[in-house]
Amino acid sequence: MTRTEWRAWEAKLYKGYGLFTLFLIAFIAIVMFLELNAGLPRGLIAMLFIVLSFALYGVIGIVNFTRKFDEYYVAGRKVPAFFNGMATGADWMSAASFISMAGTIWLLGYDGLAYIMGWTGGYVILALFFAPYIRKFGQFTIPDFVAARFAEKAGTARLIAAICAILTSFTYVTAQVVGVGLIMSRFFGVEYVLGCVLGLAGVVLCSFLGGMKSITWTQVAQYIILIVAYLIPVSMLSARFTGVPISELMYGQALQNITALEQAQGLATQYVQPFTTALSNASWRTSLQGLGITPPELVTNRDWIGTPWEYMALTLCLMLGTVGLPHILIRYYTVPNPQAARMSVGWSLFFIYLLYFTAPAYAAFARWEMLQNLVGQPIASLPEWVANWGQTGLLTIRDANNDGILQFPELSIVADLIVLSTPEIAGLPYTVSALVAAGGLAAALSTADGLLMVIATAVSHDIYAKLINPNASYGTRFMISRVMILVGAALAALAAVPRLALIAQMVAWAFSMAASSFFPVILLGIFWRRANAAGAIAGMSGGMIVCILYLALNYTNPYFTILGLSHLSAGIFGMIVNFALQIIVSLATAPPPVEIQRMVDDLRIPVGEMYEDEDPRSTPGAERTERVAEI
Amino acid sequence: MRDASRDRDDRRARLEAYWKENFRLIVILTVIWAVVTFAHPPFAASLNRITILTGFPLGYWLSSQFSITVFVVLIFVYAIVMNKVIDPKYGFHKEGEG
Repeated sequence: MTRTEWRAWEAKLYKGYGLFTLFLIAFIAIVMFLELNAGLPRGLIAMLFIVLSFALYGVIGIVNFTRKFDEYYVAGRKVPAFFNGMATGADWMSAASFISMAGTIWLLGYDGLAYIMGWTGGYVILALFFAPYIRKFGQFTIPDFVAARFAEKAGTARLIAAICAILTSFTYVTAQVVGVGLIMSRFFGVEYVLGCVLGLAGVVLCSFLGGMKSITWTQVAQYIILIVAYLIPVSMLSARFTGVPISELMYGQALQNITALEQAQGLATQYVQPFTTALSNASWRTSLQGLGITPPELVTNRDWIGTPWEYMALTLCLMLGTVGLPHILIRYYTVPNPQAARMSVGWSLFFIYLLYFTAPAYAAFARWEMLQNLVGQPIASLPEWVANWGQTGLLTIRDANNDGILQFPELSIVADLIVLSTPEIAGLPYTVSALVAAGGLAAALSTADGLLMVIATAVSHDIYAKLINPNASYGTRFMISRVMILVGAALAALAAVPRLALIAQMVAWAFSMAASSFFPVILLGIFWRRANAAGAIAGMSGGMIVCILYLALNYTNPYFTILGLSHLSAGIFGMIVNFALQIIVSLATAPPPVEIQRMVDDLRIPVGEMYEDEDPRSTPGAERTERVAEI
Repeated sequence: MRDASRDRDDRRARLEAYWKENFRLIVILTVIWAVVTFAHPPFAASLNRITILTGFPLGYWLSSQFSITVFVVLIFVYAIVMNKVIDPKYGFHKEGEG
């Protein structure tokens, strides 16, 4: 592309998405006006938002249909840093960020902030240690990188990497399906399972035809929808409570009021205080109950309350898991060059930051609202939304002291409900609820797309094309990829049924797996020339196994713990084991061949392409070695 | 023959100098990241006794607003310093955007 062509391309994008944003805001204003003045019915409002947004994703998906390999896998490497940042933001912010995080902070107070820091801080490590080198490497998947860097045992390394990518992404995508099921079942009154299926139809719509190209451009639109949908309700809440619609600035007042109300109502002052969360097997019990199996006794391990280890370990685990997530790492294949990769990480975090900076405000205003306006009311005359949400089974009221009045501990809400129900609780127009539903769907679908793409390419590109049948035609590869998107989606829907934990917690498991498998291997692969294939294979396998074992053991028995770390931070142990195995095994076996060490040198040069030929069926090793030798 | 080999040595020296500057910047920013992430949570309970802005307890505010703002700044600092200062200094100019 010439410079003029590039500028024209960027201008087209700014104009298109700029117009879309203006249209979206106008649309919301019009629907709200019609609801308040012309009695537009709720069902129709919900339909409008959800059907129109799905239609939009479908159109973008179809318009970006492609048969070109580099467009299907890496969006043609033509995505400008700013837009790649928005797409990464949508890719990153899933149902966990949108629906679950504010609810988790609402539930845990200070301890929930580990998710805020953990899910942002990793981007710093990504920018400094990974992104420009991934782009310089420039192939199509993360197992590609692992296979090229650890070429002495490329086949095994690639296979283990593909398995880790599938496990991690599958855990993550299951959590998204739970979110989709929640939204669909509440807003359409359909059964949870049907809700999952409907939502997944949306995913397939976005990703099926154009792969990474349609996914990227759909994600930019989904980002705009989700950020508008997140910021509007909380700004309205802030305006109502404090007179100023800037929630992020004003929620300090909410925190003060929460503490005052907690003291007045005789609750332990907890919300702003750190390290108050106990380890328990409650999630394990409720999911077994949901399946009709008699659950084990409730076990709560309070021995570690007041210690900072779990908070810090969870923060670190989430940060380093960020850098090991395949669906995020591949986002840095789609920009034009390593310089754009660096800027793109900045834009990614900026767009993510807009939501994460606001989530604690959401939680604080929601809790203030409940403590102030809900608690102390007669249970018989609680507002309609209580009954409505009660039907989803995620909200229960139990008059424990039989006084007919609601006390805070008698209200039991699954944290995942908070964002979805806050507009209704706060008496905002139904348009806002529908907008929030559309935003939550946008968040879940955009992430699910990226994850299913990783699973699909792991099977079609890494396992099938590279390991089983290197002469496979493009047609066969694409077909396998598309079939795997459907299969992955269906299996995720099945796995979502038992609802094993809060959405944010299931996502934390995926992060632990990423921190235990990819993060150490890619870090040492880029920065330590001596790291070799035997080490990488031992590290990935050992790390993943340790992580899954610790996770399963602590999840079922909260007394199985080291330093009070829960299953959410299992990745710390997997990561340590991975690093240890890599270092020990690499030093105990032969160093990597000279061309690999040259490859590491080439990664550090921020210009030039390492693989001139976009045809993945060629073996570019020879040309690359010659080019590096010139330097 | 001799000229080519001297060129290659110059280029190798240039690359090593480039990598050193890059790595030094990475280390500095990583240290700031680590301090901003881990230095305050163990003291959050005591820090909470101080209130700032519209009523935020300080310990809570550091985790929910301060640290994450620093993260965004760190990344842009790295990207801009590398792209506008260090890469051009060693003769690397970005490609692929025309």
